[in-house]
Amino acid sequence: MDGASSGGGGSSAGGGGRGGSGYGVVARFSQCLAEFRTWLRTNWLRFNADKTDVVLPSVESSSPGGSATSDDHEFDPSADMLVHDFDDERTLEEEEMMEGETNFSSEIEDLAREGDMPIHELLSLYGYDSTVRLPEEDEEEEEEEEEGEDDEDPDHDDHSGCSGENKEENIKDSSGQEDETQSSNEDPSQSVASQDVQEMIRPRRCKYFDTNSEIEEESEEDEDYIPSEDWKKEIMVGSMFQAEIPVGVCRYRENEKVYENDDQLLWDPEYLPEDKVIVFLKDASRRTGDEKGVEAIPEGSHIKDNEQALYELVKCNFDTEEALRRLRFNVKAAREELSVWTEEECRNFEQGLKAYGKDFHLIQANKVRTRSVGECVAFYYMWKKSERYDFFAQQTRFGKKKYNLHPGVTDYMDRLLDESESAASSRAPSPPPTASSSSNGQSEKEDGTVGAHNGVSSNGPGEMVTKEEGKGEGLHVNGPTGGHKRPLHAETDTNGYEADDLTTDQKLAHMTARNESDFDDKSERPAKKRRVNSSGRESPGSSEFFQEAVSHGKAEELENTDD
Amino acid sequence: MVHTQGTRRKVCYYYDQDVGNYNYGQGHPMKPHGIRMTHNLLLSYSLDQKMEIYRPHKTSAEEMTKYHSNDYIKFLCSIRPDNMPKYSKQMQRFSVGEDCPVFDGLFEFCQLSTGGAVASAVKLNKQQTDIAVSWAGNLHHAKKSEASGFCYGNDILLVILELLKCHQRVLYIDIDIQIGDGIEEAFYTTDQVMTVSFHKYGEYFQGTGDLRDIGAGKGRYYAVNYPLRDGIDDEYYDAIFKPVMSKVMEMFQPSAVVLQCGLDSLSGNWLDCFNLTIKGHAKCVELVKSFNLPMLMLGGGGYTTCNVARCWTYETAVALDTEIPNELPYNNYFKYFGPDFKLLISPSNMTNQNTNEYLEKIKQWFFENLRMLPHAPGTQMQVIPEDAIPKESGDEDEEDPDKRISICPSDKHIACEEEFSDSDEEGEGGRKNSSNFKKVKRIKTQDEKEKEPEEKKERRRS
Repeated sequence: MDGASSGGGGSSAGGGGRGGSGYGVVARFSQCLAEFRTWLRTNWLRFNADKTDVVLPSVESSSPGGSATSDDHEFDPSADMLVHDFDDERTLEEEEMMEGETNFSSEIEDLAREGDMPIHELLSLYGYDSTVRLPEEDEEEEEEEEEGEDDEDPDHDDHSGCSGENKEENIKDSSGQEDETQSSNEDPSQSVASQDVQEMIRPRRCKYFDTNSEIEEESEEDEDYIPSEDWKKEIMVGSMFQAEIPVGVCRYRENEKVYENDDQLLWDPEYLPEDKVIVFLKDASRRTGDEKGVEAIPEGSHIKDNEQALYELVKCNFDTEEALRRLRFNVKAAREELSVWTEEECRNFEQGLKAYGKDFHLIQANKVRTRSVGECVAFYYMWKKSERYDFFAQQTRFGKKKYNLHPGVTDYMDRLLDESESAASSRAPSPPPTASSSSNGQSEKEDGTVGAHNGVSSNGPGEMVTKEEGKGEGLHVNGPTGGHKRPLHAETDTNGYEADDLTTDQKLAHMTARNESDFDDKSERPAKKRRVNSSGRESPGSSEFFQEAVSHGKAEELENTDD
Repeated sequence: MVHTQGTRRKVCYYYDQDVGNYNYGQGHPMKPHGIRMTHNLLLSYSLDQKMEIYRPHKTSAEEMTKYHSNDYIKFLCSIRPDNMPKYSKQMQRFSVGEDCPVFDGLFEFCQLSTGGAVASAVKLNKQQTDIAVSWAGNLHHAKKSEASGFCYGNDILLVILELLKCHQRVLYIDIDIQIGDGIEEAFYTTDQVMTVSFHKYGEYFQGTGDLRDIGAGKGRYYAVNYPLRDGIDDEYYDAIFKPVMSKVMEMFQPSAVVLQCGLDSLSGNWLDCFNLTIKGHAKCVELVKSFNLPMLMLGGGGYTTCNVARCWTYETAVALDTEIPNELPYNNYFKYFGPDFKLLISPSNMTNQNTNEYLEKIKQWFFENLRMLPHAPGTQMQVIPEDAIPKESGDEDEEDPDKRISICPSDKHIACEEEFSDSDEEGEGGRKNSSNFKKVKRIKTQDEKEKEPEEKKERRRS
């Protein structure tokens, strides 16, 4: 639930509606009220009967007023109430007379909050200029009705506000109607105020609302009100805003592109029957597969070439033989550029990522000049699901660092996903990944086959978490499969673990021989860091391997702080 | 009429592999990369073999100014991350910088996404396909001279403008959780475009989309906003989508449909808003497709890339009438689909705050409004005599004199031969031969359009 609007309840919305029609005002108003309510509650305060003062609850005698609680509900400007009550033509006063008693508890709160508001704020809420006029002018009605009730326990009110809010979802009650009527009341005056700028649609947007408001038009006091809409926006009308509709028949300008020529046909299914295409693709994948030998992931490259092969077929005018022949020559070109990233490029990229966040422009400009920004982005998404990333994420919390879009807007919820993701990946208290996974990361980078394999099994060490004070957890959280176990790592705490792990590591290290050399230049890092980071648990082999990477990461972090 | 056998229809798919290579920057939820993942998943399902695939042209700046203001487009062209300081004033003016950040290749990205979308519209206009798909198109918030909500250039708008060249009435359906406010506003005063948007409403991003926003002027009743509350699920969504769309189809009788398949209405995609599953979302596609109109499917919001890929893949399969297995095939981004590696997602257990009663009331309210529409066939009947009018002169006269327009060769004219033409015909004959489509029907003239509001008024009074 949006807590911001939950505060005021129906009557607060009514107050807002009286001052001006915009829901934005109402929402903002309710927010103020909610804040004040919290303040009251935290200070154990409440209002006296005249709402002139804040008192401790014990000062006044409390009276039973709890029955009204359920009517305090969230103001929800959704269509619900609009729909339910669009033909309710009772005037504001009538409604309040009829329903006022049920709203007392919430109105008391409102008034209490209003009482604490700076006068200018209150005035502006009610649509007055800052020239001080009687603020009570608007509140009078409410006060008259409520004075008897206002010795309710504020805590109770609060509670009712919350529960009412929940109930309100399913129960349409009278205050909703009230809100709606009131806001429709205000439409004409609002339109008066704003018509000079643009033709605003909203005030006149709906016939029956218009007629309603004609009947109910009452408040001249709002004439000078200019809606301050927080979230609600008007749909604007005018040549500034509407598109020019082409008139009637289609025509292309002379210099206009005939799109067809510029759109490149990559595949057309109509020329060959499906089975032939499948045979062709099989052939294509076989032949290209031959060329690539051990390195290729069968499935992965198959997919890539699929598209390529089809396009080749189109280019050859659907001559499968010719297409296959050409494919054979073009195998190299068909290879994905990602695999060509060198270790150095990877490292630079990671450094850049750490330094600049996902500002690929800066990364490219300062770190990876050999690649285009687009390539960096593409690489990023491949890299992100490699174990290299898992490792990287433990070194840095870069995922959280730079988010600074409007914090109040609910539109950016993915931020949470982002953050929880990075939080998950950096959940481990200190960053000691096992050697096996860091080497996996390396190997995957260079060799898709290994990477794919490790991807599946990488969660194995996750088992280790339970036994080894969660060290490896963060690393493996991102592993794609949850339940796969690797007996090898199950015995992490035993001595056998070290030996086993070591052998694994060495195997993997072999597969990534060229990466090792990259690490070698870091190998003179002090051994004490190893102690700190790995809590002395790792086997010499593994810690050495991974220690390089860790210290490497540290170095980067230092670098970054300089930036 | 002819198109009764099955629903298999020809599909064209527009994709540029570069489109995934843009990034809005650190922490930004908009991830064009989802489009690439979608493509990859499509490939791994071998769906690509079943449809025509195009790499679209890049839209020129000039094309974009068909809707957007010149200033704005010029600004978009020139702004780069490294020259932002120079443009700080303009950035403010055009609302670029915060939720619409400047990133490398910004304009190119707009060009690509718009290119695909507009190309598909042209394809539909030429009647060379039944369904066109361009997942890269998604920028429905952008305003004439303003970026908004991650959107810079409003490709959907250009698409609709393009379609309007050959279609008298275009229906725009937006099942993104956000309202398609850019579109709605742009066509707020016309009766040729009906915008139907199902969205979460309230204290929420764009702040428009009240159900009482029904259009203005001639466009009154041609904007439909269905405000929904949190937690709506497949069943409820279907329960409103179907009747409303059926009614819209009946009353408005569009000759082309643009469906914006924004995915932030999916369960788990957004913070606890809607609770649709992929199936429920795709059901909308299915329904719209069942109307057998030229249909354009565009992408939209949706910020969990793996679900974006899942859903749009599934919906492409729906468009192709192909069943695909729930088990995801291996693909380049396989790991993103963990931990279950399934195609479909399950709904969460969030509370559906939409009561039947609530939805029903709104539905009734729409039906009331839709009844205000002049019945579409009536306008059609009036249209036909207008064929006699010499097309060239008629058009040119109505044109804005400021616009450079030259008389184009007649074979570049493309027109809807028959509004409800059946698409099978195209497949056989000269599908590629645009000269076959020279026949031009004048659809509507100023006079008639003026008549319509009058009719409407009469109806309203009665």
